Amino acid sequence: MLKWKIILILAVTALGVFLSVPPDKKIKRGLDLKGGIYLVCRVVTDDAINSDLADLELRITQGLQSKKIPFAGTKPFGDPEHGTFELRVFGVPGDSVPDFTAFLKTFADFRLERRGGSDWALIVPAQRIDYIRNEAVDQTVRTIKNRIDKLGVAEPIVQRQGLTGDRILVQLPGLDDPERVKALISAVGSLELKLVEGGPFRSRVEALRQYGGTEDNLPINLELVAGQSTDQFGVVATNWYVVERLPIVRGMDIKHASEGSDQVGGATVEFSLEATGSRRFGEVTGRNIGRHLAIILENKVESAPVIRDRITSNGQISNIENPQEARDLVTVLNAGAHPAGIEYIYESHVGPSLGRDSVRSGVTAAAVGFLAVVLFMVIYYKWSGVNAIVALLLNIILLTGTMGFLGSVLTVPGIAGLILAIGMSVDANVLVFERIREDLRDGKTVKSAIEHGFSKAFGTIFDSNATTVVAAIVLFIYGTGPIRGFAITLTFGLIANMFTAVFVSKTIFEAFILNRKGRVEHLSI
Amino acid sequence: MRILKNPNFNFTGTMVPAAVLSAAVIVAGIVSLAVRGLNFGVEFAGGTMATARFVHQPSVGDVRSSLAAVGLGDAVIQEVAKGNQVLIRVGKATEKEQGIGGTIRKALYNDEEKGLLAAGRVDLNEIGTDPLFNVLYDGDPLNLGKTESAQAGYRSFAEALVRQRTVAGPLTDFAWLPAAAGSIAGVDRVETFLKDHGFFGGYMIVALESVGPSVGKELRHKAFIAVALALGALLVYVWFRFQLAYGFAAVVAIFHDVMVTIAFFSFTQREFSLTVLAALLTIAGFSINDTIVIFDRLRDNLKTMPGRSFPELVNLSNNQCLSRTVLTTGTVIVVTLSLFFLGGTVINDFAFAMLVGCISGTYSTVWVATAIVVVWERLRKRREMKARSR
Repeated sequence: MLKWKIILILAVTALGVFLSVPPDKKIKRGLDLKGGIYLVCRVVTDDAINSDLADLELRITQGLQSKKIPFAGTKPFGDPEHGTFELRVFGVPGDSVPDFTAFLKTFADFRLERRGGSDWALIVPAQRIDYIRNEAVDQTVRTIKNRIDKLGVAEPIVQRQGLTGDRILVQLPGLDDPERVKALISAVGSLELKLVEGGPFRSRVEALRQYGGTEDNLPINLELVAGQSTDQFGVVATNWYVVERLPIVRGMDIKHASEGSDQVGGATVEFSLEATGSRRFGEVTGRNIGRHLAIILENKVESAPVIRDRITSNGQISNIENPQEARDLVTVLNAGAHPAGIEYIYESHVGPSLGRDSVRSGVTAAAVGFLAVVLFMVIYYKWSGVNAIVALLLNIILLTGTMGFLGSVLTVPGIAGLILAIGMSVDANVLVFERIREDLRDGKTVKSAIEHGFSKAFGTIFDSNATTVVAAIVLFIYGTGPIRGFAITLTFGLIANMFTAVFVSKTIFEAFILNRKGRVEHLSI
Repeated sequence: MRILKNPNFNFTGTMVPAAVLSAAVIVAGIVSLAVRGLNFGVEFAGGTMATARFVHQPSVGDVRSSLAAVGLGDAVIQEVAKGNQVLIRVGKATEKEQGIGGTIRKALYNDEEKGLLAAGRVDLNEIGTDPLFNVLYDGDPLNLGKTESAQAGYRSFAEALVRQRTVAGPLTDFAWLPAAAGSIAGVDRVETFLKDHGFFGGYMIVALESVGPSVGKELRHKAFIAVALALGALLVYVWFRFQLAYGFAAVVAIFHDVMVTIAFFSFTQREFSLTVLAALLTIAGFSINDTIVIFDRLRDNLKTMPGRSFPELVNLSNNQCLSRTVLTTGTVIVVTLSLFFLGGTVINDFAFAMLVGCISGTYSTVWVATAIVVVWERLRKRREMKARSR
């Protein structure tokens, strides 16, 4: 019997050691020990709906024009607070109404409403709005993953927080330049090429002068966009352009982007277009030679070169500060634009140096704590104290082995939990030993004192650890990442304690005392 | 070796002075809360907390004026002696103020450094491994061309620099470069190139946490539920094990420990973070053990010694369990002391909470929980006698 118990204990120990050594590779470290970035982003899903409307507008205008159905103009309208999004179509003459309604039947996803006279509205129904919002978040997870792939981060995590809602969690271990990466992730990456109607103007007022000075009077096919230019002296100025609202080319039309350089060695981004975009681009540039083409990135005009020739497939973005920016922009364009804007609502960055310091301090504190406990147990309980220490060592190995096996993450509070578990685990031994001492004082024999001491041990130890484990479980459920790490090490440590303090300790006594023939006179306790 | 051989302290007799002491500490705590409040961490209060490690310890005043210049004048700045570090805390946080991290970083540069950045130089104490590799690969100081060996070589230089600043803190020169470069030739050309294209910024941000109002609200909400749930679960546990009176006494003891710990956090203005709250809940779960053990012994004694008075039996139970109480708390205090002195800055406030909580926990087990039970019993007997005399 004893032989099997010893074999079981040795096997479990070996397994524990195997699963946790070497700790660098086998135990996962949290961001607070490894260094890295943790971000919670909110997807501005309204953008995706507006984008859908813009798409709709493009298809409708093209369709109406090709079917030669007259109309005065179109304008999208969105009111996020009340959840209404619609495309308004103005000036459809009475006799065209049958053709108009027939054509719009093909847009079955939307609801058509007459708004009096010759004005109509295509409304985005609530179901579609929800669908778009949900899709936008899923899509954003994909585009973020695409961009992060290029960074070469080991074990990145990008996932939706919860099944619904607009939040995304991003965890990037080992990264050491958070600002650059945050910019890379949150850049929407929207690239649009639009024909310039007027500009560059030096101020908004100047730009709007033709249109009565306010943006409201702008014709519905035009809009105002700002741009920034740096002249050869490095002076930055904001210009304003009046451009056509409907883009000729959009980000999704881009086939591939790459870095390049211009004649003076400045950094540029070259891009090539897919077939349909390419065709449209060729058509429009062919018809508009001499006009300027605004290259609009993230709703800001990067540059507005003149169209000298019919261009079909390639374009260039200049005005880029340095090669690293060009590289990041290429990553963004190739990975795809986000369907919506991204806001950070939480960020945490731990540099690798702090992570390293935390590991070192934690290990030192654990070692010293362990030694102090060893010292105490050996002085106070002599050889039985050694018994308790062996059980404690096993306890620790079981804890680390379980963590290695389950892939649990070790955090700074997690190390504190391990240290606390060390202190709390010996309590179980203290309980049993005190009872044995009492029995010896009362005159019981050594063997019966040991048996009696351990007899109700399991129940008592379970009791004394149970309340702490209850608290730890609550912390696990409601805690943040690092605190969960604490709950994990404390709980596993105390659960393993039930095995080591009772079974292992008793087995050691069995091997050395209980299995001796005849009476045992003295117990070192 | 034995401590506390046959102790015979009069716990119930000293109930009143003990109550006065507890009341004094807790009242002082409440006053302190009203006057100074608690130093809530950013997870509770929202805001941004950054830790910056400087080459030369800056003066708090200088840091504050740099931050005020970018609209962060409300910054609370604390010097940390070890490692020339400065803790910066501002109210603005990421949700309403996207790019707060970048704002703080830019503000901490002096004018000379700002000029260098504007001229296109890179801060070698801030740049990431990949961008640094790109700078070297593009610049090609060793004239290796666009080859694979160039990639490998420049990457190892970039990694060496980042590794060095991870280990030694913000860099000020290239003295370490020859050793780190190992067998790769042309170290001085790389050094010259980096001197021309980069500079050593005066600081490194080693940690930053920014909690926007949405997330802050959620964390507060979760913390509240966690506390309520844990206390509720413990109350129910003791109630079922014994009876309502004992459950009530145990919960009062926990409240006492929590109030005392909070009081000390208000006195010392240490940061009350989510981790500290975790310490409080752990104390609650841990210290209730000793209480349960004593109640267990009390229940036994009540059965086996019906003749003796209730307070006498309470005292007896306390004394019988005293060595166990002291030993078990003692081992935890020993390891917590190790954590407090050696565990590093990140976990220090947690260790402090555990220490105060442990000591208070032992005290409340022998003086508070049992005292409540004695008083409850006294009141119950009085009610019984009144009912009988009618």
